[in-house]
Amino acid sequence: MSSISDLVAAKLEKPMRKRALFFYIPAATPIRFWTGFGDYETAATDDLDPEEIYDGAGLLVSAPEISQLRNGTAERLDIVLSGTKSATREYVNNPALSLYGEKIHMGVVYFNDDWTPVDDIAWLWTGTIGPVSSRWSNNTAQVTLSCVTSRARRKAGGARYWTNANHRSRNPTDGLCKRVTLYSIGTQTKWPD
Amino acid sequence: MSGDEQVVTNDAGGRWVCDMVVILNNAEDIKLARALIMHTDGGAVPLLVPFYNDAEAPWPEGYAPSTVPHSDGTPFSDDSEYLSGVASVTVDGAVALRAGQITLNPSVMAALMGGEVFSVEYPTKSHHIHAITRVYADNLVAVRPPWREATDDAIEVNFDRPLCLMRLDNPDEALAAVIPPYRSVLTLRFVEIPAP
Repeated sequence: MSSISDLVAAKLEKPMRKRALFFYIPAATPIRFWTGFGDYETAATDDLDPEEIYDGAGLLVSAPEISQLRNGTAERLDIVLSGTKSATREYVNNPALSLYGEKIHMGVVYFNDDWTPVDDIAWLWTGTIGPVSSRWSNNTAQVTLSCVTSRARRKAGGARYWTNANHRSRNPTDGLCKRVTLYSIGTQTKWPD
Repeated sequence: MSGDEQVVTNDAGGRWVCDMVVILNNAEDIKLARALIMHTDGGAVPLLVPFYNDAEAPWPEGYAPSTVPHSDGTPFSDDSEYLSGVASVTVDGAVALRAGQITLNPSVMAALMGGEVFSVEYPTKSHHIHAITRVYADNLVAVRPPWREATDDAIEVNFDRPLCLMRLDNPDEALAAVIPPYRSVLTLRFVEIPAP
């Protein structure tokens, strides 16, 4: 994983930014697409995926919030795109193939005034693909990739309030939490009343 | 808040969209429109959409190419005539994928001032339209959107009748507009597709 280079950092300071997002799924049949139109060939010096052709995702219908890609927070992203190549559609249509649990890498490229990339792709984020779905909208197939950050787990979070019902489910005869429902925030119930 | 807004584009040059409003005056127009729309099979058929730049192209004589008959006024046996006044331009040198600047090699062309529209027939991606945005010295020009595919030396530049590979984006709405009485207004919307 590369971090942002000085060249990209200088571009981030500019009020006008031209950039594109890149997505790379290293599955059995790798899937590569970017938010531009047509083909894009990655540089030979690219850290992750050198000298490969990325397909334009046609219309990126819905992109995730870029501002929340910092490390540490687990979050779910839904990437919706149309105009995908047959490789992506194959994963959606063929039940024998699955993208579930595959890694997805997301990177960004900044361009200068003549659309020359200022640096190689900065691969910023890695996620795990969850459910993949597709639907038809205005005669185009839209594919939705639902991803979470790699560190996130899919299990439910712990309960924040332990209620009488919770306690009774484990200890059917114990009345410890019987009066919990009488509590409310900011008041103190006299006990025993 | 600094008051300094940031403008961000994600599309890396974008794609062409063509909105076309056609007034259908009579039964022939209706039938032609219906045939065209039905033939696109709901947008599944790629089309070459022309850009009519009759007043703007860098034609050497300043106006659209004209046809000229023989000196006695007769055409060729198939009723065609001599064509004169077309622009003849190639690209100087090989161009990389997604290049934003190209060098032209004009043999017949008026001076460029920027804003001219041309198309190129790519080796595998068919015809795509570009616009000249800046003109530098020695026939170096900036083009938008960036080059669609890597090309070899001396690929031909089409200033006379630029073509763009597109698909019909609104087949259902367009077909619904083609109805009698014969004074319908048809709106066609085309969007560029990367390859046939």
